Amino acid sequence: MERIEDHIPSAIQGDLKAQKALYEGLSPFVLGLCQRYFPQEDEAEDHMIQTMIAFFQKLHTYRGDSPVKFWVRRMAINQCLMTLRKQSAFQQPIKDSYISTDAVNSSHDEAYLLHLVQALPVGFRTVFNLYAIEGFSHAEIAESLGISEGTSKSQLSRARQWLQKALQKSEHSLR
Amino acid sequence: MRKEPKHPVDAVFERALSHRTSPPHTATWEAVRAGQDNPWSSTEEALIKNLKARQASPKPSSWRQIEAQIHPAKRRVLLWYRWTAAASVLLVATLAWWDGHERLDRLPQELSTITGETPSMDLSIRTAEAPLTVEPSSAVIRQDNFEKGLAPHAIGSILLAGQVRGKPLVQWMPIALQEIEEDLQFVAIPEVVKEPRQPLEPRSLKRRGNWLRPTSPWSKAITAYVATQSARAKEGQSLQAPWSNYTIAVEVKVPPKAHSFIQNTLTHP
Repeated sequence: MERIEDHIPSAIQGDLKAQKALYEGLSPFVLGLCQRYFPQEDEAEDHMIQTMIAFFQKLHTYRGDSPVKFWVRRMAINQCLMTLRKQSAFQQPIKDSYISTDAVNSSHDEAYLLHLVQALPVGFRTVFNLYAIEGFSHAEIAESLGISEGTSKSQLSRARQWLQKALQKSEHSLR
Repeated sequence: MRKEPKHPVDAVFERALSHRTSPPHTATWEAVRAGQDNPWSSTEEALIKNLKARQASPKPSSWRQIEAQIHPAKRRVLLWYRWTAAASVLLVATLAWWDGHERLDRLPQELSTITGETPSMDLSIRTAEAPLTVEPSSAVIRQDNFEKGLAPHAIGSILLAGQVRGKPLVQWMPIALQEIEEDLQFVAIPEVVKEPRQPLEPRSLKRRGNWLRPTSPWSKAITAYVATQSARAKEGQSLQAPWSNYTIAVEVKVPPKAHSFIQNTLTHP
């Protein structure tokens, strides 16, 4: 079976078909990732495009020691964090009153779960994504976002608390 | 060490605040737990697993944006082709407009009308250069056209001046159909139209180009005639020749280039 990495040598040579094959193999994954950081569809799509452009521009530096999916994932995360840092999203104070569970609806499908994460305040959402889904440590998150480890832990904790509330609420509504 | 007496103000604050307690923020305990190894609940694990596996389909236009960025040379070539194509279209349109005006200028400003009496029907062709006169050998109505139910404009029965390559030269079709010139126009206008005894409403004709307009008196006369003859044919009666009743004038606008062709093909019988 053809692996996605098989297209890389031709893509580096500028073969459009190979580049398209890489794009088709990776872009759904990258877009899914970007949507976790940016609730707005267009914003997520823009970040996916920027990530894929950076991916093709830096493809010649790919050493092949890890799956290309991990490589592009790191690029996508960096792309998203760069924007969030520019927006100073993590410096904004977060109050409990800011947290709302209005977004909860009565199904636990994939779109709903994404919606839950997207409804988190930006600081909570970013830390939750980085820690829970991308597998970063608090030290790494603190360094990436320019915050303290304590803040990272606290934000993760509050994000979890919010998500649990939301999930409980939706379970109640299902009964 | 001697203990100094406490200032009265300090003593007041100590009494008021030393035993004060305050409930921690609701998330503090969670934060403390997060500092330890707080395992994910099964719900959270399901959520995380689901989100990790999630993919989304990008818009079709996204690839074009990426392609334009990673292939700037191709982008430039595409742009160049687009601009060249646009410029070519403009150039062709300008030339066509200019050529059309040139041709119109070469055509006579006023069309001449030359008439003749049937049955020795006289067809004259006037061009910008010199008039050409041809005389048709016969004018006949072909009954098979009626049987086929052809529309009057396709009557095809008025054979003038013989035939060209086995086809009738004029059968109420533009001469362009004879592959002379695309813009050759053929217009037939009766000078005198005698009304039939029982006037018949003309049938509607599909307009084909700018020739044989059904609103022209000639077309009306032909339509009425064909209707009459069709009725006669259905009743098994013989057809009547129209030519004794009509005087026909024919105008033909011919570009100079077609002049010699017509001169050679429209021969006297």
